Amino acid sequence: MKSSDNTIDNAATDSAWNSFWFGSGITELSSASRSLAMVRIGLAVVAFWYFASHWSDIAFWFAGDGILSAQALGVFLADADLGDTVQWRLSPLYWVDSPTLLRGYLLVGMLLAIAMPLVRSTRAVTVALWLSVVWLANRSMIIGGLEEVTLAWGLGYLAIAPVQTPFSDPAVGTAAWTTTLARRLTQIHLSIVFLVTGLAMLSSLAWWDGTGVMAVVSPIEIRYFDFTETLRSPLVHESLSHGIVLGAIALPPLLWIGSTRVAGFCLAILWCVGLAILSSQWLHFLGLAMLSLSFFPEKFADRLFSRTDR
Amino acid sequence: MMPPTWVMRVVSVVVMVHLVVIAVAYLAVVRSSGVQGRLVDGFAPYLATFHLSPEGNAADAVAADGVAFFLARGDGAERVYRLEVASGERPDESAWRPAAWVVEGGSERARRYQRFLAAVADLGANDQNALAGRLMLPALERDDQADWVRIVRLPNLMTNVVQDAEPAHYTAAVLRDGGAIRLARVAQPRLTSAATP
Repeated sequence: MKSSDNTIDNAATDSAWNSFWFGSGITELSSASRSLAMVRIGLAVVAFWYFASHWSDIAFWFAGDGILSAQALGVFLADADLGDTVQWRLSPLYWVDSPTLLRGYLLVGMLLAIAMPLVRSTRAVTVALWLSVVWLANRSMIIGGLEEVTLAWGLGYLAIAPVQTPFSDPAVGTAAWTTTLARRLTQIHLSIVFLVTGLAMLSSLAWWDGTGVMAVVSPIEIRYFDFTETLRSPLVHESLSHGIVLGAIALPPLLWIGSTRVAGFCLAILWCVGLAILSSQWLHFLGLAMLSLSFFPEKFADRLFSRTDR
Repeated sequence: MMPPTWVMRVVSVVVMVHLVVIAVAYLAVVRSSGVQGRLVDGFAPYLATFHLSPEGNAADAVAADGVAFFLARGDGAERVYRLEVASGERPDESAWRPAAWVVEGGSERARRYQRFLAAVADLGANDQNALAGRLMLPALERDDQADWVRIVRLPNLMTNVVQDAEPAHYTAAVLRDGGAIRLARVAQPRLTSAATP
């Protein structure tokens, strides 16, 4: 009986499931540590950019006499009968109406973004940055977009793992399994985003008839670059539209299959950066590009981060 | 080192619930089924508190019948609005000027103004005049030269002649009485069939 129990326990502990989520192999840990360290640096840059992008206008939107002051927003939501819908958009910023304090909040957020990859002794900085982003995102009702969502889940997963640099030795003890867990959550969530983006595109005729990319570049008043002439040829914009949809749907399998991971990773970066340039939706797509680093191929990491002093 | 077995079991359950909710919330972006809607509503406190799913009425994501991802539908990515103001008596077309406080361009800042204008324009287009006015009022309190305000949709390569001929989505007169200010919606002629007398 005892032997049987041990067998079951061992089987459970060593199951593929547990290895996947809490893997302890040295190669796996080394890979997870390096890739998460790069994601951390990348998301720190995006988070800094996010807070900086609010600097000029935060008082205009959220101060006591702002367009979306807590009082004005409250009256609007009450009149629109939306109170129940948004009641969980919690944020202490609803109680802040001083322009100085609002700017101070942004400054703290930017400092936390700088500190996150540097302070290795604690996860507290990452947790603080994550909450700062979530609270500002929840306060940005009506004017918020997808960049806040991307930053919120990316930083949330990073808060689980210990802070390391790409050159650090693999974590040990409790830190080891939390590193693997954080990386797996990031990878799966990113795969869901790619896949759903691709599938959702198929709900629009624009992505079937090949004009989808023209819809993206045509509002030139809110784009950094005007690609309307460059993409005017049907061959060019139709091929690009189909490529964008196919890329989004093909990315998850390409990234998860070991033999195609390098191609998948390169395609993911190309897809994100390409759409960032075409759509000017920089924070969202560069955030996704940084999160794609969780799939950073081992062979690239070995070349980049191999330490010659050992 | 692996965590204790009980920790792995608890974490596994939490992770599975979390990922299923995330996947359902994302898959509900185009048009959610009743089951999806109930699940997303049930987990709304979790999803909203940690900002894990896209905002319902973001201009980047079409909100007409559910939240759609940016790029998911051409029309969401196409819409660009401009806020215009005018002074004096009933203005002609040449009297309208872009509101000075609206930032334009491809920056994240400009995108926030676009989302705000899209929200007002949607309310105006659906005859929710009081709500549109609620959002616009604080902005017009800062501009004492504005006697009229309107939000127009700018044409582009992907819009058709019918869309380009649409009247402004929201037009209102700014009524000032001492320090008080209010908006009165000005009805715009709707497009009609050429056969309609």
